[in-house]
Amino acid sequence: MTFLKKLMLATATTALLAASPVIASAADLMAIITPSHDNPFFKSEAEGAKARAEALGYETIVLVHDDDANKQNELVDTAIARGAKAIVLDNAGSDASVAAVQKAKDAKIPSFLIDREINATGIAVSQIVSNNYQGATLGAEFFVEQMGEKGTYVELVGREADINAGIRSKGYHDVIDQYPDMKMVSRQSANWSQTEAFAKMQSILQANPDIKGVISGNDTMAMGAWAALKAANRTDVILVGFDGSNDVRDSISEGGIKGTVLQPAYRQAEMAVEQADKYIKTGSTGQEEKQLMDCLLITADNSKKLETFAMKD
Amino acid sequence: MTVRTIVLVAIAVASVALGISGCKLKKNEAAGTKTSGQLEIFFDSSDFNADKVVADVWSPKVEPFMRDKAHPFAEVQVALAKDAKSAGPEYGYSENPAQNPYSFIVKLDGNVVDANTKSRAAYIEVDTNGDGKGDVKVQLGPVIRGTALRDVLPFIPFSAFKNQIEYANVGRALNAQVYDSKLSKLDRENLVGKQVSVTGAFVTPNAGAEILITPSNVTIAGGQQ
Repeated sequence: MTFLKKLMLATATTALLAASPVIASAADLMAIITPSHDNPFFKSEAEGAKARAEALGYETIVLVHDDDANKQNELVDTAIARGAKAIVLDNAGSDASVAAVQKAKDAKIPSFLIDREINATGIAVSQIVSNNYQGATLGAEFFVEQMGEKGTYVELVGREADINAGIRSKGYHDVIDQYPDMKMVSRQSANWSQTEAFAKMQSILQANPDIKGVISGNDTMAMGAWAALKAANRTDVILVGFDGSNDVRDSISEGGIKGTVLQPAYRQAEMAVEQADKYIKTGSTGQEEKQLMDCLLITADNSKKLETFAMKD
Repeated sequence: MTVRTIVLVAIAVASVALGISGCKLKKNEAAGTKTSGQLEIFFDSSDFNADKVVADVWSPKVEPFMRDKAHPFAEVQVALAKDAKSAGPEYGYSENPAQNPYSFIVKLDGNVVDANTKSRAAYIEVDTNGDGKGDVKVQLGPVIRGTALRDVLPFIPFSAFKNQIEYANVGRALNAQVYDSKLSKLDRENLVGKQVSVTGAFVTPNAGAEILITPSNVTIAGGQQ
């Protein structure tokens, strides 16, 4: 299609929409706000929410706050200004986001939180999150087993403002610290970032060349750490991640990274949209506000069934 | 008033109404360690003491509940194998079946056919039907996997707590309670061949995985308990 034709069509569509308010308001709008899609986990949840919302007849706007609470605040303003009927949100910090969700509520727009909790109840309609603690204990139990219950290891922690970084770390330590022969030699935040994890892992390896294992708060950091371990010819190091990304799945299948923990991100996003739809239509989701979804350990035994944050049957 | 407060009050009121004393879900002293390595362990609320919560409900509520609600293990095992979907609601409990698997309270008697007490996540394997083969694993700790004891108790719902950390701490405190009060006192030598009676809980295993019971009580014939 030529540019001119496109322009004419766009103009005609705009004119048509302006002239017929029925069409313009035919579909209700659902706003989907998540962290950056650079991380496939967030991309998957945004896609899951968008697809389900459109299947249910909603228009969608998909927005990204980049873990910046101020930006999130502006995006909530945008959703309010656009007259969204609901907001599906993976928030930018469990304390900092309370005000943004409250603002949406004051504007009579219900929020449905996924992935991360906020430290308040009664403001969002639903908070559907993965049981990060349960998942972390699964990952840690597997890690300890692979380590033979002993040896030196490193922990890579996620972004400190993110509640899930804390929850996973606690889950890891609640298991690992019960084994007196497991010795942590370094514990650093790599902010969920692959490049940062790569750099941190390189310097950790210089200081501690004989480490036996690495446990990572998410899969993007695990991929960064794995690249550094490969570069140092240390693919014997036992590495366990968290999220269940396709990248880590492939590494597990090739005998690289040992395991990860799947968060059902795609289904979780769909579920939030379904609850939003029910709430819009009936005034109730029929569910408790806070809902926990269990995670699943992924190893070489089941990694082949994993696809885009969901298990194939 | 938050939902959490309402639920906690509801639990407290229910306990009083049932004539149960000692169920005081109130604020307590700091829960302990806050740091590990260079980073803070975040969101570990200092005004919530899970050990105290569990200590207060263990004898008056948890132990009788486990005793009274336990189904024979063999019955649940058969039902699960036949039709896991209907076995859940019939024999088990889930706070939210769309998101969490069902958990089951069971009791069993049998013969210890294998014991791994070298691992800190120690367990015994028990033959419950007399064919000489192990039918189920029972955790002995000190490391106890999972939160089956918490997940099976309807009066300890996630919605009663502020966040996952508090809820997780309660699960861990329940495991610690059963280890300290029961499992640590068991004689761990020469377990194979001994008769055991177990009351405990398990979460529906993943496809292909085995059933792992977290006991609320274990009695070994000739043992201390």
